[in-house]
Amino acid sequence: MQSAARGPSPRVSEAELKCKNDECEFYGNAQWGGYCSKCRKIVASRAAKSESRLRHQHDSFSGHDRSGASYSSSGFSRFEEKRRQQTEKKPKMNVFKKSPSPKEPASCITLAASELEQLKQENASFFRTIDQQVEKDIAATCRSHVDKIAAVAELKSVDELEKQIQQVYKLLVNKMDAFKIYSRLSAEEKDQCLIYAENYIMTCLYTSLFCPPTTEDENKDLIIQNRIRQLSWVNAEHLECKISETEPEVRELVYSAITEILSMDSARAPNEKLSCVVRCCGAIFRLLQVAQGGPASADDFLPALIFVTLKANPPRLKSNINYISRFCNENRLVSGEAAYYFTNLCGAVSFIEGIGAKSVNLPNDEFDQYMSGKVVPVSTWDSALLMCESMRVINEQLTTLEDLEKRNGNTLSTASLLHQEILAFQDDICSKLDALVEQAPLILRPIKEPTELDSENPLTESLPPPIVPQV
Amino acid sequence: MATTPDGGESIGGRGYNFKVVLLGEGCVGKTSLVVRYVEDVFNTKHVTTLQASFLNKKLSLAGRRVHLSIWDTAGQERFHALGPIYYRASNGAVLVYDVTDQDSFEKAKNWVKELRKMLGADICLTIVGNKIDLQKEQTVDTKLAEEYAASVGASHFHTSAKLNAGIEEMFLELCKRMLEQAQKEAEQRMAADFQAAASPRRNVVVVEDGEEALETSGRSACC
Repeated sequence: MQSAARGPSPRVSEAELKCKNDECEFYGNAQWGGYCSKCRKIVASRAAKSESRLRHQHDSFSGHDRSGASYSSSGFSRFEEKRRQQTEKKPKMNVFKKSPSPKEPASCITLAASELEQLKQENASFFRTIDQQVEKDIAATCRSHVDKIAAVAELKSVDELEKQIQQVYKLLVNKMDAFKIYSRLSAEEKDQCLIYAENYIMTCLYTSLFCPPTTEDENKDLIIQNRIRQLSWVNAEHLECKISETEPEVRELVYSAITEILSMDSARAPNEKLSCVVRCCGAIFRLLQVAQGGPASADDFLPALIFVTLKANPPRLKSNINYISRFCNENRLVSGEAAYYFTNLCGAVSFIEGIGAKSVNLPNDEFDQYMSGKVVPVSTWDSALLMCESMRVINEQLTTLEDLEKRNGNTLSTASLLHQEILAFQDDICSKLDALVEQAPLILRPIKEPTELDSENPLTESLPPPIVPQV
Repeated sequence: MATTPDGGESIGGRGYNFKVVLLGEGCVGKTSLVVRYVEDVFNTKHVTTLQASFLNKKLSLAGRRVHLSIWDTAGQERFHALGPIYYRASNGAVLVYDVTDQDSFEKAKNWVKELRKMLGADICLTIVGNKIDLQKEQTVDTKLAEEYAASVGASHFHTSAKLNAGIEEMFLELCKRMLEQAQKEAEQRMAADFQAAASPRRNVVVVEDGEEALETSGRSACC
């Protein structure tokens, strides 16, 4: 089963893949701004007309073809944003990254236009409470940084890029401390501005910095994916974690944890990816609370996270982790709750890589058999994941039956116990009664006949005469 | 003052952020210890938070605000190898053992060795003998444990999460040492900056950066 298909909710609907022009039936392409090739040509020609004057100025200034193109396309992005506001369409996902590129190279800001718009909308209420000028300034600063980094993204090594991005984050902090328009903001507001700026920059640079071809990330992704697939037989018992796989409430929480960790791949900014991890861990803690009735300690949490990671088999896991650890603001990865959860995820992945017979409490030969796929242990979870609903129901009902049988047995044994008790009680009462009867035996005496004083009876005549009172 | 990547530095001169990692065998009471410290309850079922593995504590020490992030770790033997991922960039470590269990003390010793090897003297260590309420069953010799702690430059405390004994003192003492350490490091860095600015041999700093880069690449490799 492909891991991507496992999640309870599909991540991309077909409508989102269609051309942005509502009347058009073709599929859209991310690199063409979400349009199909036909619609894009029309849109681009319109944009080119409106921006031609600017472009001429710019060309005569720089004389550089590439930057000229990127300039015009940032104008295109502005046009696009306007159009989007009119139509109020849902943002599109960037799915077809490797498809043939359009004739003119587009800047990464244009490519990420829809995601940026989404980011803007998410933060709109926040910026409404503070100065609008702040948002404009952040966006302008970010755009300049993005252009600078995008220009060198293909030339520099990942480590250099990492340093450069971290440097940019520091510059942003310094800027917010130094500039006048930020001086009125509280520490929390500044922090949120900073997060917004980080998300802005990384949303734009995602395509060039995620899983860059200069690294081994892609290979590592494949290795870990295969490894997890090999380990698909591992269940909660092997990991000694307290997840009862048949309980509906627990299963729902496991599903939501899995959905969250799968959604990590579709988020663009490291901060957003990080919050997916946080939400996943939150679901795990909730399910552990259901399972054991109290907050979970690390002893319970890590096995559960490993279990969820194994069952989710998140796509491009290594790339995502490396992307976060390289390009997320270092400060967020050192302290704080998110850092703790991310560290745990790294720990879980490292555990999965090094999993052995010992770590799942199995004898060596049994472990090897499972790993080679010769023997498949029965697991409720696997059948549930194979989308075999009836199998799952059967398994569940078998568990219910077992439970019922046990309870039935209990009832029967209690009933027989009660029966014995009743018998014993009867005997006891009988013997007690007998003893009592023996103590006080019932002796029947002949019935005395009453004497009739007034009758003519020879007996009464022998009696002395009644005493006569003497006066 | 800028925020530095190295964990427990001052956040804009406002206070200090310290990361403390709890290490020790399973069932020695790591979680109970930190839950007692942060929430003042013994039974983890009474904790108000959803989880008891990552807890924050704010305190004020010598006029400085200190923010403690306490990271609990899984104590099972099979997760031992994951240690480096957790104690990376932490300012302090609390190594918990059970006074009634000699094995857990040996385990704590192993952690000390590993931490000193990987992080050197930068990390403040505290060895804690928990469950002192079970004094009658105590098997780990107090004197030996104290001597061992002194020999590796760590503090030693006896605590009881059940009776709430010694925990507050233990964390307070650890905070004091972490604060001293952070201030020392800050001074050193300022001195180094000063030297670098004064002397024309700026290359020295570049070499340091190179070392840092090596560390970070090592980090991404281990995750």
